Amino acid sequence: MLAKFLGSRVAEYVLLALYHYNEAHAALLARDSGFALSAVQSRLQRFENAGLLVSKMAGRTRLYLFNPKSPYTTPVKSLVQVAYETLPLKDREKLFCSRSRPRRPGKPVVPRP
Amino acid sequence: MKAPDWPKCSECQLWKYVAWHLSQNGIDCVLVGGAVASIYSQGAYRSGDLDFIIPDRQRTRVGSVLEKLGFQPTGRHFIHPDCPHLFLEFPPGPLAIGSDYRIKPESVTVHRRQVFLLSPTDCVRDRLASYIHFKSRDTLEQALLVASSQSVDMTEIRNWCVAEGAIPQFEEFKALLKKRHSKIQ
Repeated sequence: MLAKFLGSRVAEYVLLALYHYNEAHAALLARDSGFALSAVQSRLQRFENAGLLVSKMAGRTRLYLFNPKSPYTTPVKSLVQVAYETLPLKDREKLFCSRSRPRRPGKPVVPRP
Repeated sequence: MKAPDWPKCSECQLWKYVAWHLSQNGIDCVLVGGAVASIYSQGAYRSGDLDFIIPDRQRTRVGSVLEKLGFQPTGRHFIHPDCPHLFLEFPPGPLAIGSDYRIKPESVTVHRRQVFLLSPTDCVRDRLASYIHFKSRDTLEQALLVASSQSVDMTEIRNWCVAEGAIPQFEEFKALLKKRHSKIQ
């Protein structure tokens, strides 16, 4: 539904993913979604140019997040929240399959059944 | 308006020069960010960049005005070749501090034209916004520098911090400011 408002499935995905992960880099979003990296990067830059997102460097990676200083962020996030919460849980797990919580090095990964 | 002494010019001198010329060409701009803290702290903090908020519909004309003044575009910035220590940036609007977009900027008359920047109270709120949302202690320091050298409305700052969900940060700011005032007296 959000894609219809925004006129772009990549834009919809980027906003949903940033809502889910809080902050993320372009390669992660492209890997999770299957969209081309260049399409994701271009969308992130467009949102950043519009002031809705900000980015910061973490090592050699550029992380994007919602711009907490923009007056547009809260209303846009409310819209994204509706779209996110109406996604079936199965779709959500499929769309956002990267882990963002801390994980001790060497801890084994137990595959999901 | 005469050009400033480029190699030595301060944030304040460059702001007045650029804002005056933009205004003469019908472009309304407001200075925000660290350069305002630099102006209000009388140079105790040096910013290096001047952030101007400009209405979206006037953006397209900015480049040509600045190029006539000798500025060169480099990425998102404009730099004057004789003034490499300062650069201009035009972040996306609107003029807002966190979720508050009803900002009334302060005006200063320069050669019979009004140019605009954030008020001292709004400058403190703007610097605190970066501390609250990005946890950058250097902007907390800038807020303290401004609040200790200018008259600011602490009630307005507190109410805004409450709205941003940042009461602990306001209390920290207030305690640090009190310490500075006691050192000064």
